[in-house]
Amino acid sequence: MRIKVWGTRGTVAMASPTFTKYGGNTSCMAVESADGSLLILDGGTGLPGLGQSLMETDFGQGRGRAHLLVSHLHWDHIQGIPFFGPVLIAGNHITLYGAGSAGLTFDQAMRAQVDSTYCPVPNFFDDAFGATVENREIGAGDFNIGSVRVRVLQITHQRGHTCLGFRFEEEGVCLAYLPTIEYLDPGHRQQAVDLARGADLLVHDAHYTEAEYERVRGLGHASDRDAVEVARRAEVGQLLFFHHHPDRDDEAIDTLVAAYGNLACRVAGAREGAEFLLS
Amino acid sequence: MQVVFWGVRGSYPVARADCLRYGGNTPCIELEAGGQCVLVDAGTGIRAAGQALVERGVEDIHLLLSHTHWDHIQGLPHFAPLYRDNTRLRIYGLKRGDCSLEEVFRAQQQQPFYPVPLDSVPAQVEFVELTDGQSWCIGDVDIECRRLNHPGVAGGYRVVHQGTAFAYICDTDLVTDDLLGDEMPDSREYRQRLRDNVRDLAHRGDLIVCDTFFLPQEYRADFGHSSAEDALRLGREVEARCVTFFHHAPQRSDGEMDQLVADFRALGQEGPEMLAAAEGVQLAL
Repeated sequence: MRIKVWGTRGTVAMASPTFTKYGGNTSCMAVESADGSLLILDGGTGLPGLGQSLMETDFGQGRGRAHLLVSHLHWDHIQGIPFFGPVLIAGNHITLYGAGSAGLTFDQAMRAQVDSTYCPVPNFFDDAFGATVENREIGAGDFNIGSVRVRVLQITHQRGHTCLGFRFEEEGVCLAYLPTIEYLDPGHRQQAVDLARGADLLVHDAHYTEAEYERVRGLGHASDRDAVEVARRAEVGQLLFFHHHPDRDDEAIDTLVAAYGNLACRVAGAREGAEFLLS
Repeated sequence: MQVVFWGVRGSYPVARADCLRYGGNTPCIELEAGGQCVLVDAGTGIRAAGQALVERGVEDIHLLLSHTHWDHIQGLPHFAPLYRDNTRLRIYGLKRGDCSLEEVFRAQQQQPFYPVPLDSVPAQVEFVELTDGQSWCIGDVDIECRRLNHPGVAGGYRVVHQGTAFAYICDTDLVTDDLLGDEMPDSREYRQRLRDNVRDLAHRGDLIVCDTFFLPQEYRADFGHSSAEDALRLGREVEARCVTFFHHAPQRSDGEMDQLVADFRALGQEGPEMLAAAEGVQLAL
């Protein structure tokens, strides 16, 4: 399983010289399975860059196949989708997976974003234009994408808002993805630990610092301390802090990470461009 | 009149190391004239603009909106003055046939897409819907809005204070005869009107901010964007003092932007000055 990070930032893209190490683009990761399946985790502003790199592959010829899994429908997790180049090319086949929320189905939410009032890109969900793009409503459960076993967990982000966490397993390696999560009661934490159990890599929300957390409790995010606690209990190999707060610059993330040098699992800040090979 | 560029990028924000000098935030320009604060467009650049306005204690803010495509509105939920109860924010934009300006912004800021509904923010937010050709005053600042040729409903603005004229002509296709917008009458007169709109907005402007999304070889007649050549031709025709390249394509690197400007300078043509807008640049007109 090959993993590349394309966007790490929470809430809003940050284009600034003090954000170049960890990156300013909003959530997006690419996962390539052993059998060559391409899974994309979230469609933030990191997604257009991934799309551009894919245009040099089968996707540029209209022969690409991708699976984009959306954790939830907040803008910072979907706003790159209309600018994902492969959707414009006929012949590509792209399946989007996600859960509806707040009265909209996943399909309705995806189409709302490309409404012509807001979006200059033609509606690629219509069969007449671009790639074959399919929206698939998912909830808690298991399914396969190529050689990858996907486990979906409904997690707590904000009250009344549906949010999904994921576990990806193949050939004895495992990635767990919990990009936005808040632990408002002990049961929530146990669910996350179970999902991440024994993962080689855990990507976990660390939007807030432990010091900030008490005054932002209920806003839907975890702290670095939460992430480390879940990683420790789930006995993961490596933890990546993810969904960095838009005010947290490179230096601040370095400081946050430096506090965790002596744990059994390695702790790092998710960095745009970073690659991992799990085998 | 003071001008500050807070966001200059088109389509979507880019946080790439090779774009940082010109900047990756989507459109937002701040104008200060006669003690009034006027913002143009609410791309992601408005986040930093908002932080600066809060620091300066500016509470009365006028936001001119070119149109409602994502890159021109997506920053508003992250605009700090929205979350302060002393703020009075007036948002101006062309009236649409299908929905109100307020509905456009309410839909952006509601679940499942954004956690803080627009209705719940402490600021006083008012929407002013404009017609093509409408003009009004903010203190002793004169503003005029004109329709532009771009998909949907898009407009440009001319802002004049004590004889100094700023024009914002973005997004638009300055050359095509195709009618790109919603509900545009298919007539020769209307095409002429669109051409006149651009020239009237830009007429002898001290600074005209123009859509220069395309390089000539990239031009597409259906996108509703222009190139630097088109902008400079306009600048010469209307005797503008300075033409500003704006709404840079997301793939355009800092090096390519430098090259673009250098190539035009090397031509040594008579006419207006040229400037490629870069985030953080402040100008006094």
